[in-house]
Amino acid sequence: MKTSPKRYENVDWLRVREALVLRALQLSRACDRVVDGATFEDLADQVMTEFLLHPDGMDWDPKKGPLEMFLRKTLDHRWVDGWRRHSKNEQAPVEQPVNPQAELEHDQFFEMIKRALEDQGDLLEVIEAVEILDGDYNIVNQEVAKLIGTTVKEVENRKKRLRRALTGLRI
Amino acid sequence: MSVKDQRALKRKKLLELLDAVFDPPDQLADDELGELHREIKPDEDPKDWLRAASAKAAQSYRLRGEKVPHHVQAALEATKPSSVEPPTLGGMMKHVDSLLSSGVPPLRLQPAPVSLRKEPDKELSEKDRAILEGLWNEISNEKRHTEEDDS
Repeated sequence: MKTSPKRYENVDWLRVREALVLRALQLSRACDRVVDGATFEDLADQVMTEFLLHPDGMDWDPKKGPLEMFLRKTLDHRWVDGWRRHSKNEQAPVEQPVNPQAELEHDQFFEMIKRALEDQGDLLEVIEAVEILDGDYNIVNQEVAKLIGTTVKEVENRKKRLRRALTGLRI
Repeated sequence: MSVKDQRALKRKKLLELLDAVFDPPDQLADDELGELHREIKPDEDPKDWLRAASAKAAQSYRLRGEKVPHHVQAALEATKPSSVEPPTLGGMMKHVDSLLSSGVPPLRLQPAPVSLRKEPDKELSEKDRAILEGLWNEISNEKRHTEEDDS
């Protein structure tokens, strides 16, 4: 694929890095063995480095959405497929053993958050409402607002607090 | 369904749930994203991190004798340190003048050790030329930007 300098004119590089670090942290909270023994920083660093070392920038096209979204989705895919740490010289991937015990932690993630937030009923309401939606997340904020009888703005505010709770290690 | 597929499916569902509860990070406002990043990695300046990562990537392209791709150049350009003003010719001349007028003795340059001297009969390899060309282009770009900024 041919690239041009113009393609990268509107990239907000700081957002790219920040979004990758935040997503990697969220995944590490969701599953302790998120990156098969490596840290969440490793996962964020690996995706960015992979992009930089790809001669065509992983064929990203602004038409596919902002770069931060493209690389965040790449990070998600790496995680879904089972991330493998690569050796320094980017040769054969190092296989890591799958720990079935670690998989249990996925299911317990929201239980863990709920326990941590038991004194913050309004935040718990949001999580429980999302769970009721059961995969129907097209207009999630509107649906959640309807379910708990509040405004979309209020749902957005509560979500902001939830994000801080998750990243700020207050759970 | 294999254990691997089951795991992938579980992880997909968890991702959907994560996005529904916390929203995808790339959809957050700049302020909030920056704030959360500072909370997660208080010692990291994302600009510095990107600068180092893209400089390292650029070096690896140059060492292979390849042109530094546009995306790496763009990342380098975007993360160029802004706190230090780029030197201008006028500024440097002023500095030289002030040094000369202050009576600072000229530097006494020692001859380079034999091992560091260039062997006059050694030809540059293609790889050397590519590296030099890459460096030259970078310096030219830097100079051009400095001139544009000055004007």
